[in-house]
Amino acid sequence: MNGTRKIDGLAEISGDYDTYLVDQWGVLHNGHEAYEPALDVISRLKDAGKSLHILSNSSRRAETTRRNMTKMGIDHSLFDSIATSGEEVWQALYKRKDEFYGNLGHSCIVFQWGKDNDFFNALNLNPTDDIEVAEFILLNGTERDKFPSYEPILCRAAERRLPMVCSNGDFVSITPEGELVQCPGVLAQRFEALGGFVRWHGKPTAGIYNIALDDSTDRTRVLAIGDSLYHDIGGATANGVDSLFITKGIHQPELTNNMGLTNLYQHYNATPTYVSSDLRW
Amino acid sequence: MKTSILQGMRAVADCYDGYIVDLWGVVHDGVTVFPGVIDTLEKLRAFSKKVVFLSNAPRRAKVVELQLSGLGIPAKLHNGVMSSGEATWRHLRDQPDEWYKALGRRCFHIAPARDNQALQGLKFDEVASIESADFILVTGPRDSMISAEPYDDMLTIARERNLPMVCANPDREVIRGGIRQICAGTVAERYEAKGGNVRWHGKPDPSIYEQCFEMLGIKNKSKILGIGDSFATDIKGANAAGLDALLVAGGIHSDDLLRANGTLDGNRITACANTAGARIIGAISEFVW
Repeated sequence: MNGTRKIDGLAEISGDYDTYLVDQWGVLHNGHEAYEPALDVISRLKDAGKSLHILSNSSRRAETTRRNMTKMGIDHSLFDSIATSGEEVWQALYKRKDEFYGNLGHSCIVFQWGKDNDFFNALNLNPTDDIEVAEFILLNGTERDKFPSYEPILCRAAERRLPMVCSNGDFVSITPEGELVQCPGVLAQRFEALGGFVRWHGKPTAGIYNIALDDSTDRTRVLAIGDSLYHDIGGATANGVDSLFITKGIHQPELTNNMGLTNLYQHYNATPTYVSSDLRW
Repeated sequence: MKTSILQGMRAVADCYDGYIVDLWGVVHDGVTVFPGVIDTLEKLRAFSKKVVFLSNAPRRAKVVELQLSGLGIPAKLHNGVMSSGEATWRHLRDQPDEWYKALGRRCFHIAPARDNQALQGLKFDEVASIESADFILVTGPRDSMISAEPYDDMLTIARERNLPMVCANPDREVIRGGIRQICAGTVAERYEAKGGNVRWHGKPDPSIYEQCFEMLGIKNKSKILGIGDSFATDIKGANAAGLDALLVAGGIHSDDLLRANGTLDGNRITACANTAGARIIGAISEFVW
């Protein structure tokens, strides 16, 4: 008996769940345009009185993400909340409540993707390019042609025992043309392998699930939906909720190369409750 | 003496009221529940037998239980789940002895990212460097470091600072999707080899069985059977806890225990048990009725 059930549409299982944790990229949109069948699912769930939350490993703040959704024609008011790993990091850097953030310092090397001024607003940070004066590395994004230039910075940071804050732990994303692109999580893993310490945020770590789900939520009635086995499915299981794996996302190339679903689940040590090619009703 | 090969659980069901059953390799492989398992659990239930699952998973028991129900084994088919992660969490919360009371507050946590909630609900602070830690908690390998050698630098510093270590999964390694990777136990073992001070949780440590006895509601140990596929953890743990033990031979030792035609070889099983210093009442090939 296989633990994972293939479904043709969410209608088959929506009666079993009151709360939905929805990944963005690969599920609701491809980075440029929204998937209409997925939006149809969201509005049907909303009509049925379900609680809907975006759970995203974007390094952008929730407000920035809300604006970007609107640009792609996604009505963000359908969602009860938007949790992004970027927002999680921003709040941690703003409040500096726990021991790690309390001791972190303010001078940091910033790796980012494009310019994200919203993020630095109201944060008391001193971005620097000088690894000798930096107190930590803030990993908000990576640019694909810059990977070779990151390596010496990581090596020196590990020698100096600087910690890294990672606000986007994804390993790959997929372009609308189906090309895989390396993401910041790869760099964070490289830093760990060099002996560095990484404070991870977002899926699969617990913090982002605790933002979307409060203590009163019955986790047996929660379904997480996403296209990354490591982040969305592994994170769901570790945090006590069921999951729906969308195969037409970042794992599509592996599946096209004849890697069976069971092998894929074993490889990533993550077994979803349900599997479907895409999110549709 | 040649080990008795039993056809299934029905051969022992008259003798025991309670069963403490391993999960990985006996009930499922992480992806699929093995054939016959649900039927066996239903039969045991029909005969008013009690079943508690005992896993060396580093996660809290409720998380293991939810994963189990996700794989298709609902809570009504068992009497509870206990895990080494749960035992670890409770020891960190209750600090029941002098060793735990002396731990200090600042914890350096070695874990895969998804298991970072091990400290949730506890009063410890996670710190970013061994240099500023009071103790180490190892839950599993970091996702980026799945062999033992990369941990040597941090373990050397920890040893110099004489830091105690808590280990939430005593297993040494697992083969996942064909790739061999270490478990927390390998990091802890390496630390002990350097002279480090480690507190281990999970099988074969007998103390974790006490919680299982409570969940079973059975005091008479001679009426409880321990079941698993690993001599080192399941069988030796049951022995240490004072229980009879039954080997499921289709699991991690299967290469050593099967004849060429796929049937179990009682002589080879006895030899393996003797080598491991473990005592069993018999062996079944799979957890079937």
